[in-house]
Amino acid sequence: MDKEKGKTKRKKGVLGNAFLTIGPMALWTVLFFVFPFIYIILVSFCSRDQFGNIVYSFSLDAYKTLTKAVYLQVIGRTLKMAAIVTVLVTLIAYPYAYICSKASKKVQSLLIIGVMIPFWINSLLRIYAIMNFTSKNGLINNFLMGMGIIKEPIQILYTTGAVYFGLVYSLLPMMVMPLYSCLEKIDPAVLEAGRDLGCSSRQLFLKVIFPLSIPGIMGGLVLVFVPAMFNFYIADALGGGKTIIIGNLISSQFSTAKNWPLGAALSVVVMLISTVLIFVKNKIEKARTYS
Amino acid sequence: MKRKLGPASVFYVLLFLILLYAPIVMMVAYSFNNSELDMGWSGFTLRWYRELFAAEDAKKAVINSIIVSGCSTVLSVILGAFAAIGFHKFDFKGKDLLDSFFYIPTIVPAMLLGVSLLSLFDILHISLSKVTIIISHVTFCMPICFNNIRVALNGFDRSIEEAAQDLGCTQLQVITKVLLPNLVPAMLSGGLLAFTFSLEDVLTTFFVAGPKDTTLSMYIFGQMKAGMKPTINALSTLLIVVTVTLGIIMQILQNRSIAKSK
Repeated sequence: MDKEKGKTKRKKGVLGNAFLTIGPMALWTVLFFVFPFIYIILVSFCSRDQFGNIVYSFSLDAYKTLTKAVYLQVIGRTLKMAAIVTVLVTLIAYPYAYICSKASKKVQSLLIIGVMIPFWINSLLRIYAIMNFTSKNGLINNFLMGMGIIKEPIQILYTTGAVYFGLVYSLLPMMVMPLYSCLEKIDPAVLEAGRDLGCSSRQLFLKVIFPLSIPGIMGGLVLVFVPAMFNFYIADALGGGKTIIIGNLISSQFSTAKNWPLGAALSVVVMLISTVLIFVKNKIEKARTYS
Repeated sequence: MKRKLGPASVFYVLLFLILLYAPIVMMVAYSFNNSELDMGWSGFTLRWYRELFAAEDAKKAVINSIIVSGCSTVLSVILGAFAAIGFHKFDFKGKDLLDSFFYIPTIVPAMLLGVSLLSLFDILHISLSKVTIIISHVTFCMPICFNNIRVALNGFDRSIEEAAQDLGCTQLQVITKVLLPNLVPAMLSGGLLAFTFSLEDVLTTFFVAGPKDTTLSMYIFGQMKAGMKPTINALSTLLIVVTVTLGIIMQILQNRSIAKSK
């Protein structure tokens, strides 16, 4: 912002116009994005009085509260859940993306549209569909009973398992897309070279294809891990309010519990986790493009 | 290298797609199911659609959503288009930095945007209403439009602009008579993308919506927490038809704007 203003003086006419065109968006972003974020960081260092009002004096109360066992448990559980979901999504998405990249051009675009269409549909609706799917008379129970695996419908909905299922289901396209675009770019000549040097198919995959697809995995990792930490509506709707993740905790601090400093401190913690993830991803991407 | 897929691959792809679509297909099917609670199939009915159209709160949520997402989209397209044209026409120091700065709101988790905007509105004593939802949605929709229009402009042949200038067009006329008409597909596809993002947002809206300003997503979320209802299946089916149609239009427009810039 300031940089831009400085430039306006140096190159008059032209940059006066530049400011008129770019200025509104820059101003909007500063006002409704930068300010609120700085403010939320400030709030995390404040405390609150007994009425829930914010007391504007420096305090580490909120962060101290976070070290209580209850909160550490939620943070630990959320990170574990996000990690497991990311691993599952990667394991399921990888073969699909790999097969896509191997198929003929026509089949490729069909398969990719196949994953894109559910992605267009409101994620809330997809979660509602999962509610139907996992209910007592839903398709899963009917299928299992039809196969003779179970005799009575089992409780899937409103368990932690359903939350995992919902998260994996709704985040799958986020991993398929970056993986596919990464795998698809691998030069066939590289693979042929590997073959000529006597690689078996397995070696070819482990030593050539997989390392080359790591940037894709990293891209997907950010898109899967971060939302998995936050998505409180999936935990609410599929876990029946029994599964509490960071997302639920933050939202309750800002609504019912009215402990904004604590909610803000939690937000800062997850913001840091996300930033580290994005940083690592960028590092790996850069290292790959230079090598 | 591109060989025919083996049977194992075909099996995996089919299983993947079936699992991806089965829940959605089942939800749509159950919106026509004549049984109250999920008790299996018991005949075709349009009852849930009739009940849905009679529900006042559902109607209000639809109207709220159209207002909120409509206003957010229009504002996002205007602000994004202005900035994209500025980026196309002018060079200045720190341009790349400003460019990546503009994208940050789309990377930041929607929920953090929600709580931080809630705090901002609180300290400024702005009471929550449709306006606060629109402000929040524009913040993350604007970069989407900006990006779409920039991509279209990147491929735009500069000699056309020069030709217009040689023929006596002022800078402003170049923008209004040459650039803007060519940007219509990109603006529309960016706008549609922004509209779907705004329509489906829960994580931000949850914090910045006033008590009376229930959007469609918030309405569905509320109903979902209470359990399953066939009317929600009906509403979901209608929404899926709308979003998939919008998605297809978007794809066509995007292809057209790429083809145009080539």
